[in-house]
Amino acid sequence: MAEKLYDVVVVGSGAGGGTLAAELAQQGAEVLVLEGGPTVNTRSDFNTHALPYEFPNRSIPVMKPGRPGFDGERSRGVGGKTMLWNAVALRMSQRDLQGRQHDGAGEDWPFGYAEMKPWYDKVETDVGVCGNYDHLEDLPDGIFLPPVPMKCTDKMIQAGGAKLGVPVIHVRKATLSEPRKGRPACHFCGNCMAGCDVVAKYNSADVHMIPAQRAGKPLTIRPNSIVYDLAVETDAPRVKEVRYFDRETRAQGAARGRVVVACACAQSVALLLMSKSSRFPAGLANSSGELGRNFIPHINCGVEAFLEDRLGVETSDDEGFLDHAYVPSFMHAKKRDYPRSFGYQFNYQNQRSVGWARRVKGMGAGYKKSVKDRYPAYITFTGYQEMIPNKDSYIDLDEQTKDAYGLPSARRYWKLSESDWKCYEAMKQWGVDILKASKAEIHSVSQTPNTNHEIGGCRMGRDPKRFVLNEYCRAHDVPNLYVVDASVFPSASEKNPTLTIMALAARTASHIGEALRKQEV
Amino acid sequence: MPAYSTDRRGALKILGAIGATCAHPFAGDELFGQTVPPSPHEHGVAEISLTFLRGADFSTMARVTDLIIPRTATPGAIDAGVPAYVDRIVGGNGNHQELVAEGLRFLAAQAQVSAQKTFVELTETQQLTILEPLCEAWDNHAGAQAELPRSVQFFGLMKSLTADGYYTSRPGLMEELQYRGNHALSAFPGCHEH
Repeated sequence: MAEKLYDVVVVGSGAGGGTLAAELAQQGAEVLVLEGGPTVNTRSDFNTHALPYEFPNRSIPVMKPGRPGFDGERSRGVGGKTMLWNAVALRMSQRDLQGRQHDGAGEDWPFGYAEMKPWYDKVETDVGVCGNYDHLEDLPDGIFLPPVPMKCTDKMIQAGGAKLGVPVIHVRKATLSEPRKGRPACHFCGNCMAGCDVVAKYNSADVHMIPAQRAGKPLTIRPNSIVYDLAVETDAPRVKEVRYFDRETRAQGAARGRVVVACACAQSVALLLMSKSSRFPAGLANSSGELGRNFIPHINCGVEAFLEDRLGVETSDDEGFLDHAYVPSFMHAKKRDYPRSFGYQFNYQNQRSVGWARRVKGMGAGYKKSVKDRYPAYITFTGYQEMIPNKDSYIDLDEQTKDAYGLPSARRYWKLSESDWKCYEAMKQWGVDILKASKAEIHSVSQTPNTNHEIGGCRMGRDPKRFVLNEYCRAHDVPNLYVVDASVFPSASEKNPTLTIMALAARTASHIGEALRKQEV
Repeated sequence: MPAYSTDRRGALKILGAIGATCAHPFAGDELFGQTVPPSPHEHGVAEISLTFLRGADFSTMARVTDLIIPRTATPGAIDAGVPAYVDRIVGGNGNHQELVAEGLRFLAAQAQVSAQKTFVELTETQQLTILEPLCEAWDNHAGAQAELPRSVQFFGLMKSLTADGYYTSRPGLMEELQYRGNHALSAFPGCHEH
């Protein structure tokens, strides 16, 4: 065996893996990133500016013809989901991290906001986050570039919210509102989630990893490398090698070094569950039996509406960078019979698909006018709710259903508890109330909860019997194994997880860097 | 024209096209390989060839889409090529095929009973007399779609696909709805109506 020994082998190249790999390389560590998907050229490979009528079935493919990537979980591409995210970047608060101390529900993080703050500061400083200083208790301010002005529709929601005492603030996004470090400011073409071809929106490849490589730092990215097993030593609870195969040729390979798993929540859990051995028959680092448990994705309720004051107005170029405003959690100060809370993301629809027209009433010229009048008035309004962990919500492997690469699929189970349902119903009602106070005609309200943002399944905490990872995201059972993505969150908050993943990745990189300098492990 | 031209003349042409509204405040030494902000390329319209319905069936389906979104001061479903889109989507889905075949038989039978004619031969008033009750039943249904009469489900499918096809077509999106996005702006203008 003559495989090169790296300081660190990172599995996955998104918000967690990309940030951590670049941070460690900047510190001088020799890093290998194994990414299951291909290399993607941000500037030329995405269908960023296409319109639906260019395609016979009117749906716009993510990639341009012949460019591989982003057609499945194991073929997303270098940069992972940061290539296609909407860039909402929110800090979690002290109450988010240690909510159990307030209401006795769920699980606390092993540290509070004071520990996270410097890492949020660092990440925001490095990548650029726009936002307004709002001085809210449950949504800490960060280090912000100037906020982007709200849209007319946002101001109507803001006025409606004010009648009910509901705050509506500028959205906070990892998208540049002014040029910075060689990246241009956002030009508001409205295609953020189709791949930002100028990298005004953060992605981990162009903002973290490639600059580190260009600066001559020892960071190697191996794309198309699907990791299927973390093999352990026979005589010690340590990862011996990371086994992968090439996505195109299926040629086998192996890499050695300290291992950081960062494949996005469910995929990270699946990889550890797949890595069975006589030492760890229930999956790697799973002596606690907790691996896969405590899956706590965000619970969503979507409302669609038409703002009366916008009916029939002349259209303008106001897609902007999708949502420009946000409703932060406002329930903590209110009396209620459920723990935790919710916030709303809204007005993030693009204007080049009009699926809601199906359900506008009538036919003929009257129908046509109804749709046209409503077009500039349409908004989506979606609640994001924190879920409390329960025994019926978990991730496991579906050994019977193999994917295109012959690997078992990750299976997600989630079920709302009674208190989650109460929170959900309140979120739904508040959503409708805010819209009505904003003089909106309600078009649809989702009838069942949905999920977004996979979180949990590989929690961190101090007690090795109850948690897979310690407070530095290092496996209790396996000293040379770390996990850095949303699977490690003990509680989810209602806030989008990516900024917190990046801050945790920077913190974990610092911890690993220190260990390397002390020649530990 | 590609969004990023490595050809200097191409780049200048893009700058010329957007220069007035977009004196872009770019700074920095690299700008990720680009010299100008992206300009939407010329958006071609995809050609759609027929896959499923033919002859009288196609004409009847086309007439239904035309009644759902007629030509007014702006183009209608037929102008926007919606029948070909509907044919394509229906042709790719076995359940849709079955429903559309049943629905077309229903329309033919109704036309026969009311005027001993084919559906397309009826007057517009006669056609609407058949379709409007289906539309009303579709628009106001609350329960599961599967519990609706097949004729209503058929109309619902026609309306959904007509709306999808029309509002994603070039005439529907650009002329009727007046979509104005997908351009590079130097700054977001904000709201000046309040």
